[in-house]
Amino acid sequence: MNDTATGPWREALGVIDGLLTAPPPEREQKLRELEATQPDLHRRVRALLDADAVATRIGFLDVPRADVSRRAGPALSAGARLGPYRIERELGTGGMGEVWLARRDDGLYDGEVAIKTLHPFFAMGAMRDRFLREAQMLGKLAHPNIARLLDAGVADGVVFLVIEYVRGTSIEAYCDGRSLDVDARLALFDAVCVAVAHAHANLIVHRDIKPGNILVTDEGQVKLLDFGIGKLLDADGAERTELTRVTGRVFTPEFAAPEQILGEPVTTVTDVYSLGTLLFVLLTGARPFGNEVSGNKLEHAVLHAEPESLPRAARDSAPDLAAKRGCTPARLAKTLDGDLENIVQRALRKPAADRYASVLAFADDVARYRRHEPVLARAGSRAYRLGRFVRRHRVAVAAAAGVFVAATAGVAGVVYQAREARAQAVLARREAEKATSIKDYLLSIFEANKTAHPDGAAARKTTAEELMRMATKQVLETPDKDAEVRYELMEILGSIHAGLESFDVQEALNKEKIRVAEQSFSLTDIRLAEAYNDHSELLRARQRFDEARAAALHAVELREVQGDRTSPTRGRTEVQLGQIAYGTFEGVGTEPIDHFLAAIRILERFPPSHELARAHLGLGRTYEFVDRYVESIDENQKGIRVAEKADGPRATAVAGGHQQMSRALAALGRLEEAEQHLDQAIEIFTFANGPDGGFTAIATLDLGRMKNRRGRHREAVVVLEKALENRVRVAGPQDHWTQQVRVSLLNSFVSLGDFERARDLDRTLTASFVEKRNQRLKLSSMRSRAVLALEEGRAKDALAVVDDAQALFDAQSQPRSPMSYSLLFARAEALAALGREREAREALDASLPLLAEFDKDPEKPDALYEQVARARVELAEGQSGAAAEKLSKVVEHLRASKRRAEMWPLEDLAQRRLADAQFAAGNVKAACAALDGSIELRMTNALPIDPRLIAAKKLKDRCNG
Amino acid sequence: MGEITVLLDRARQGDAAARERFFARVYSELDRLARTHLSRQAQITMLDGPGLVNEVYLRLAAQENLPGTDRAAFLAYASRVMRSVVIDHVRARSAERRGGGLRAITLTTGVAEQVFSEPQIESLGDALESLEHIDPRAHQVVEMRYFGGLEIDEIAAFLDVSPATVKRDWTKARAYLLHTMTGLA
Repeated sequence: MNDTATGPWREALGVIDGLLTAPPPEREQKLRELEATQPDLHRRVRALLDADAVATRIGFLDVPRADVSRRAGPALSAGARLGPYRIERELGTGGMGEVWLARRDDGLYDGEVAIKTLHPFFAMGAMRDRFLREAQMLGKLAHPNIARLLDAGVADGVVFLVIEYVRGTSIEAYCDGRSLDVDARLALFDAVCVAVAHAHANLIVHRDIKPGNILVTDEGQVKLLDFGIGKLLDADGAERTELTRVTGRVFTPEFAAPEQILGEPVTTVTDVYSLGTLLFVLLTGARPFGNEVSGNKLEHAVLHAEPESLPRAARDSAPDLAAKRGCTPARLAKTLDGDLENIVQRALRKPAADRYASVLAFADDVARYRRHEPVLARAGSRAYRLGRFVRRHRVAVAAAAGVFVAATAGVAGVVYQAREARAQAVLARREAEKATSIKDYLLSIFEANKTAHPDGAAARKTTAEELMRMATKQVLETPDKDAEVRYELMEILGSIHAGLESFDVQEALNKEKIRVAEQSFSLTDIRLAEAYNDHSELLRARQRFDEARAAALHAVELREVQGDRTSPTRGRTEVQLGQIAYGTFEGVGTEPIDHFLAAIRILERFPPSHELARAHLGLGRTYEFVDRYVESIDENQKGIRVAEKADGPRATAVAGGHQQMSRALAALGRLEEAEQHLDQAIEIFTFANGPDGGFTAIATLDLGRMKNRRGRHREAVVVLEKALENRVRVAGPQDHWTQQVRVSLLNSFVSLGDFERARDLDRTLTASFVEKRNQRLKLSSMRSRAVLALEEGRAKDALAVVDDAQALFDAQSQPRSPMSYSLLFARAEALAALGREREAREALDASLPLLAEFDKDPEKPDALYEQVARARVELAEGQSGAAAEKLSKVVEHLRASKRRAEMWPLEDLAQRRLADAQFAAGNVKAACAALDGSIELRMTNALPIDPRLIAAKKLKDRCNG
Repeated sequence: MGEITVLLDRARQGDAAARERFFARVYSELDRLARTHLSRQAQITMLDGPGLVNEVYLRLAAQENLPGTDRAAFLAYASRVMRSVVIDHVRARSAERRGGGLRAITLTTGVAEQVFSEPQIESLGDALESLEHIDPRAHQVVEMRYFGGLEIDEIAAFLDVSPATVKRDWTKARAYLLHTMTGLA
């Protein structure tokens, strides 16, 4: 606490004094001002306001009154609001706090959610930051079998988690209620394992797996609750002591692994133990150490006692136990003995290294049992027990062994047993090696780093990326390791590299994954098809479409062999094929559409998934490409909704959907809605990738462009200047997107009338395009330069630029687009100004078919612009009457439009031209009225220094004089 | 007129020496009372500040024939004494405890959810000391309300400010104390 210097706090308390009496909106306003001007003071004031909210909640220092209504009651109540959530009813009270059913009603995420309140301890100081950071990480965990953490925060002194609301019963009650047989129970257990493994691949450990945290819906879908919450609620050092005092322990002793009870580090193998207990309970209806044991006795048992055997536990459990599992007691005992017993006991080993190395290994063994294949646990188990027995009775065994064995089994028996024991020992060793290899491997990464950087300080500075590179190198170069372990490691590393966008490494990993899977797994193993899917996805991202297609088709073949046309893996491949077809799509045929629709048909039958969202969004993009905007909007909407459910409301897939949506809407002239979607996209991208992220930058550029299109050039400048600063800093002044931002900013300045800054930008752009490859960007930059020249009255320059641009356009054989006619417009304007009216007319005539093809906006602003340009030609030809008539119509039309404000630059241009035409026709009064119209528009929308505004005001003198 | 009445009168007129003597006189009473109170308790000991202050007031009022009008003033000055008693006590014990295992003391004002452990009382003491430098009046409000159990109106009358001001002082002080005690930032 170095932060108790008297002065600053006195100041903060002074500020609080004023804030406490201010109404909330005013308070927020003041806080914002303070944040901008005095961030330190703002931080202190915030801290005090947070503390005040908590103090009120917990009744800190409350003095007993006659009325006890001020006591800390429930954190929430029905009908109350918590941020954007409306509280509906209490679902229950747990150890950590209350659970309420709530609904979000601001339209961002509809549907019911569960809100968990936590001890106010979490709202304080450093705990709060850590809590929010961890929650953010957990929010990214998306799996159909994991209840999603949707939001977390602190509001009004209440710390809360917002979790997907699941209607279901605990897995134990579900199994018993439906009298599921052993195999059905194992199937459910498998679903649980897959979900847990997914979380492990994301480096998140559950820490509190128990029947109460696993719900099954009426449709039979498994949903895991409270994933990682244990970690979220844990703390370090001194904080932990305090936290344990106020909230209790964050695990359930009945299902806790020995290392949890000992307070030792928790790993993914801790979850293996808890899953073992879960399976024990599902199969026998009893706890591994008996149902009656609790407290210190239970802890002692977990640490030192051997778990009950499954058949015995089942026998001692409820009398109708076998009936609930659809068989007779004798049959059940037989089923539970042997392999199942070995599997469960394996998971329940005390030393973490003796258990299954991973949840998937555990699940695989269960799957082997279900397929009636030999299980790995069998061999390991006897050797393990033998080992334990020998350790316990070392002397006696040594003394008795020779005599006893020889006497009872005979020599042959001894030989046989010795051989079997050796074989078992080999298997056991292999499993034990696998168990520790992930741990060793992780350690070895840091070892390698130490070797590479003997200087400790340098080693500490190694970036995550370098570290991962070293790790990957190591895994790729040690092919003698166990295939299962290697495959698992490569999966983890692959997803890390995907996050780091290191494509070469990812590709190497994918290839090795395929090699390992082909060599060591069966061809029917779904992991092999998924490995091809992964490979295909990466190749597509790298624009290597032919290879990507080959990989995807290979995945199809692998599944076809199995007769599989309906699995999520198949669906994913279809999405992949759709994306590949889209990558090379030129608007002919329906290949991408067919694949996406096929994918949707498959994936729709499963819970909302990331892949389903991709399919909808891919379809939306394809429809957009072929100008089917209404259908595009529909698919985008679906895609966004699915992505929100599957990946969470703040996933980048959702943001991508919004961005796509804004494009389709803008194409239909629905600019305001389009802008709203961009706002949402930016919010999510900023949340997910930070303000410096590439996606954030592109979406911000889009927003600037959208504001330009909406006639809000001043706002556009604010957005774009910030974007420019950011891009230059993050990507450098020559970056493609930096240039894009400059072009848009140039356009804003031209419209606003700040020609000087427009010229500056133009110079920068021209200078940097000398050796630029991106011709499209160059084209749009040239068009902007031509427009600037025209507005400044430099018709010759404008024409030269347009000619260059046209030549470039033709040489590149760019597809025709709105760019084609906008170049023709600029050309016509320049020619008209130079007195070459006939050529100007030709240019405009040439634009007409293009307009018909590309101007999709129902208001047809580009067609209107063509009229204004044509009037100019007429005026140059001396037909002032016809020009005036044309221009009046355009002005009238624009003034009547609902979207008049968006099109003010065009209205202004028409008014100024109209004034010219009326002056030429001698109608001074009408000319002056038009001038007034222009002046008003520029006064409202442009800058005072706008030369066009100044010129118009000057012309007005003619009216008054 | 009894001794206490005289001391209170002078203290109110700003006589520091009178305040000291009042302090000394009441301290011994409160301290003795607190000790008896503590020794009566078994495992977890709860010190009820306002209860003790009130008990001392009743005792001295009876002994010295204190006029009823002096009650608020008495409690106001005595709450400072109470604070010292509590905090001194806890600090002394925490020093002692390093020698051997003694039972824990908690401070309560009667609300079940609000019991403070010894380390918390110590950090409350530290926080109060820093608050005294930053905002002496807010600090006084906490003493009177928390340790002396005075009502807002009584405190307002004693400090000669409006009840709204007392409430604001209380809110501010409480936020500051909680932040200082728990905010690790």
